[in-house]
Amino acid sequence: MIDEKEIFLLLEQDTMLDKAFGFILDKYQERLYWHIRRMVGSHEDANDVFQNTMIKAYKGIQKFQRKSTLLTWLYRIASNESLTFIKKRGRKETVSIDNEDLGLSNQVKAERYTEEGLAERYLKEAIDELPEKQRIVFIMRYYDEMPYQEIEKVLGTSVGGLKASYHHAAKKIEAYVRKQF
Amino acid sequence: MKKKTVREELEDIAPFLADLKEQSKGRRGPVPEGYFEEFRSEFFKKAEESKEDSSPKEAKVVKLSWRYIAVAASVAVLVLSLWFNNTLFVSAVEVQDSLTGLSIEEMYDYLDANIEEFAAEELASIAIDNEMDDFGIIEIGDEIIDEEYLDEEYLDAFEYEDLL
Repeated sequence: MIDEKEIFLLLEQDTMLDKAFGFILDKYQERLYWHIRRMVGSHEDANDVFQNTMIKAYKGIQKFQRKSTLLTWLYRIASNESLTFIKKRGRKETVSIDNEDLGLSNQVKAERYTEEGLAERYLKEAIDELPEKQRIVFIMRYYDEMPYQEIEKVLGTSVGGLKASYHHAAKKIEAYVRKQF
Repeated sequence: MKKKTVREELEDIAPFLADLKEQSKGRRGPVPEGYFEEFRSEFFKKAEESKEDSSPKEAKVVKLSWRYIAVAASVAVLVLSLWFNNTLFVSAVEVQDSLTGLSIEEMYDYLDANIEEFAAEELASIAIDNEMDDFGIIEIGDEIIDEEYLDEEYLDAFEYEDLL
């Protein structure tokens, strides 16, 4: 797969913007989508936020000064878009299972109610209850396994602060999920 | 000292969660079939439309800093007022665990990120237990922060290219 250097070489030519962005989508779209999906919950909401994220990236990419990696920059946009969306939706509102399952197969729905699916559902419920910024740190570390130094670049928060947030979040989630069993 | 992996770190903090993560490895929620291919093919049409809709924005970067000042000021005012009024000081053992070994700046970051979930008295307790007596980083003097700067719509109006 094409690397970031080659993408930037293409971006130096105005006529190659779409081609370069196509490579960006190939390379990062799934990762970014899942980051957003874990933040906002349902596929429908994730789709809207993901679309806004990629449009903003598309419009800003040629001015990107490469002070961080492309992925870090994209994560930053995705994270900000997700947080903005969550604020608009209202912090206390949780995603209902019905809404989340729109358009999904019955087989997939059934999986949610197996024991394994249940544990993940409790995990998700616990994550949804976290304060926004703590939630984003937890998701980046737990699911994306990002080094703290990378998260620092995305969120602009010191490594020590991030570690404290992650520890606090993990303990709370553990307590919540254990309580359900 | 050897750096801990993400898994080792999680096993230390939350072993049950570490097991759960291991069991559910590779499993993700469902996505409609062909979603990513479809997204890609639709994306460029939408990107083109958005180019036509966009108009140049005025410089707003300076005003954005008010948001951070406001957050920081809220924390400082809250903690200081409780502190000086000598109100309830409750122990926050769990929070203290998370803060052990952090510098004052890192604690500010932590509190800023998690402000919504702390009761005011907890914040005061943390501040006292950790001798967070230097609030000189926030100097807003007598100036009143205009609510306009805290308005959601105002903040939403920022474009990322303005921040590059």
